[in-house]
This record gives sequence, structure tokens and C-alpha cells, in this order.
Amino acid sequence: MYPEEIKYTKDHEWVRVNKDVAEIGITVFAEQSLGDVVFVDLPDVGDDLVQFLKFGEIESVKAVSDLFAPISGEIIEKNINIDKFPETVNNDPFNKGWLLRVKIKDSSELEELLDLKDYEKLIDDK
Amino acid sequence: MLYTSLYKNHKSLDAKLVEFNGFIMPLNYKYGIVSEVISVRKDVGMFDVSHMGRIIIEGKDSRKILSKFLCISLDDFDIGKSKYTIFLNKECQIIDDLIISNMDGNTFLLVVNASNRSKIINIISSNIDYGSNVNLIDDTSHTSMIAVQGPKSSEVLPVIKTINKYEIKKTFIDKYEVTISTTGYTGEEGCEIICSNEDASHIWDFLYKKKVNPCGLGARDVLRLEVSLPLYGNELNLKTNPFEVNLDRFIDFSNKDLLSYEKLYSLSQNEKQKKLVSFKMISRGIPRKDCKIYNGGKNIGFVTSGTFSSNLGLGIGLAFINDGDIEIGRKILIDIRGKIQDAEIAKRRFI
Repeated sequence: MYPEEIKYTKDHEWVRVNKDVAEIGITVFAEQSLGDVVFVDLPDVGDDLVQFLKFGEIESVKAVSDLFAPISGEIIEKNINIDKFPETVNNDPFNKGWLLRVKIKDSSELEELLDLKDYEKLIDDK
Repeated sequence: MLYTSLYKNHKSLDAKLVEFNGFIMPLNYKYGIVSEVISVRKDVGMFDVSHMGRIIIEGKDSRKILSKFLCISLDDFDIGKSKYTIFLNKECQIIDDLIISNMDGNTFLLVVNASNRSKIINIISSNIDYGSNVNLIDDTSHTSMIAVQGPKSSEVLPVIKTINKYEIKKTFIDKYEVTISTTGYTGEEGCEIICSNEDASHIWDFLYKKKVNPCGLGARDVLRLEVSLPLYGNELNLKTNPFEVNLDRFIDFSNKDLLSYEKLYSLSQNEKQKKLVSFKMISRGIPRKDCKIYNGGKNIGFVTSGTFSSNLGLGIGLAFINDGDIEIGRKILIDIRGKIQDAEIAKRRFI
């Protein structure tokens, strides 16, 4: 269920790197804990993310949760589809449900993130 | 922790379980809150509401004791009828809102909120006069309760068609003996079924086989907010009087036995400190309980309940407004976690 080629945070975001661009989303664990996602509040293209700082909010019917940046960088693309179909985050969190694409500022930050093995350990403990 | 008789059914349906007033209850099942809400509006859904308190007051003096606390006239309350009412203590504080049913003229069933059950039992018990003929039975753990709600309720339970709204009767579902009242908390047609703990799971399965969609507490909250129904602990509490929450129409001043009668009457005449309103968001945000409400820079109230209505595609809620202007269409500002968002006062009931 969890892709191996991507990195995770302990706050249940993921990041997939393609050259100098990082795609960011939330994990299956996060979307299942939230339940039906109905609104995602994201910053705009051109804004900067700072690793591990809050960059937005994701809301389900019942709860709201902060989104934390897995990596620093400038936002180059926003998944506009999510605005109209927020349920995409539940249906396909690792692919069509991506949230932002950012231009990586410092790729050494990736070392601060969890690989699949460590992330699975984290969620197994929950 | 308490478990209802339907716990195994919830587990086998992959419910997400949460603690609610000491009970382990389903928040939602595998298809999620949004699809459960839609199923109740368009089709039919069922809820385990066994956690709600079921209190039986029987004996020839039962009317007398209940009249001390309930804002209705029990004299013109016929056998087989159910009514929504408010339980006031002698200080005129709202202890609970509940459904009372007249079972046989001397036996009354109160269906109360789980959080208020022991308070109600204590108040009634400690006010029974020596020598009077009243017996109080807490039936909660001896029975189970399932709510069936939605426009197709009577297709799966044809017996509903034989009962007028807000009536109660003993009947059978499949081969199981039940008490059915045509009440609910969603604004849809339907009923609430009280049955023995042994039969609960069979009745649930019987309904499930008839394609009734299991729904949890999450959907229940959205559904009641779409029709602006108050919830004890959010809109109703000890510091709020019935006139502030638009329950005027449920108060019958012909019940002079009410212990708080004079206080209640004077509250009805006084200017209200706050008024409950329905509102809808204009901005995209989703309002949540306790968000502050502003007019310009002035704080004029707060949100008591808020959610996202997938049927309407926007945030809705209930709120107290304390500056007296509750006109429908009035623009208000809501502080949602530091962001000021636009909303407006709306007509009661969105669906």
C-alpha cells in the first residue's frame, strides 16, 4: 500500500523527488485517520515552504489537521483538482491526491526524512 | 468502557470506533461520513443509538412527578404519543432535551441524552414524595435502540406507514418484538426501534440485508445540523434558557406544576442575552465549535456547532449572537483559527 521510492515525515506527509522537484502529499494513514477530506487550504504558487513548518490545513467533516512541509522550497505547482474534488486525497493519496510541487532548495534535507521501513515502524506503533 | 449489543456488528462492518459518553460507538463505517449523510437524505440509513438513556417512569403518580420538570402538559398527552420536550430543574436550568412517550397512561418512557441520564435519574428519584406511587426504571442497559432514517424507511419497514409522526407502538420486525416510535434526529422520515439486547444484532442484520446503510455518529451530527437541531452540550446547557435557543414552541405554560414555572415565565418576558441562529459560510472555511463571531471589530457571538455539509457543498452551523440583530441574510465574520471568514445568518433548516 505504501510506495517505497518516496520519503515520509513523522507527521504523515510524503515527498516524491523527481530531479530538483519534490511532489508533496499526505499518507494513507493520515487520510484514513481524518476520514472524508472536504477542504484543503494550501498556500499559493510562488510561496516558500520551510521544512517541518506548517504550510496549510486539511479538513474532514469531523476534524482539521495542520500540514507540515517535508522539505523547503518554492511552490511551482498546486494540485487545482483538489479544490473541486478533495475526496481525491482519500481515493488516491500517493498519486492523483498530491497537493504541491516545490522546487527543492536543499536536497540534503531529504536525509531528515523517514524511509518506508522507519515510517511503517512509526505507524505500527500507533 | 461500555459496549452496546451491536459492538460486534460494528466491528464486522469495519467501523471507526470512538469513545462517546463512556460508550464505544461507531464514528463512521468504511464508506465514510459523506456517503452516510447522502444515504440518509436519498435512501435509508441506520444508527446504533443504544447509548441514549431509556428511563421508564411508572405508577399512578408518574404524571405528577414528571410535570414538575417537563415543559409540557401531560394532561392532554394521549396514550401512544411521543413528544419532544425540555427537562428543567427548579432553578430553571436546562438539564436535558428528550423525547417522552406515553405508553399506557401511567407509564412514560423518556429517551434522554447519554450524558444527562444519571442527572435526570437523580433529580427525579430525589423528588419522589414519600408514599407516592411512582417507580423509576433505568432501562438503558436492558434494551438496545436503532434509528432508521431516510425517505425509503417505510420501504424497508412498512409498519412505519401505519404510525403517524410522533407516535409509539409495540409491533414486530421480522419475528422480533419491538417498540417503534416515529421520531428521529435527521429531519427525514423514519423511526427509532427499541428492542431486547438479544434481538438487537438480528434486527440490525435484518435491516442490513434490506440494504439499509449503517451510519455513525459523524453522519448523525452533520444531518442534525443540516436541519438546525440543537445538541445538548453544544447549543443547550445549564447557562442557556429555552427562549435563547428558539424552543419557545415546545413550552406549554398550562403546566402550572412545573417547579421553575415562575422563573420560566419571567425569562419568557425578559430581553434575551443571546439568540441561537443558523448560519452558512460564504467563504470556503469550515466553522467549528467555539469560533468567535465579529461584526467589524466587535465580538458579537460564537459558534456552538459547525460542520461541512456535503449536500450543500458549504460550511454550516449554529451560533449564538448577542447584539440582538439576527435578521436572515445578515453578514457576519467568523474567526476560523486566525483567519477571518465571511458568513451570513440563514433560515433555520438548510434541507
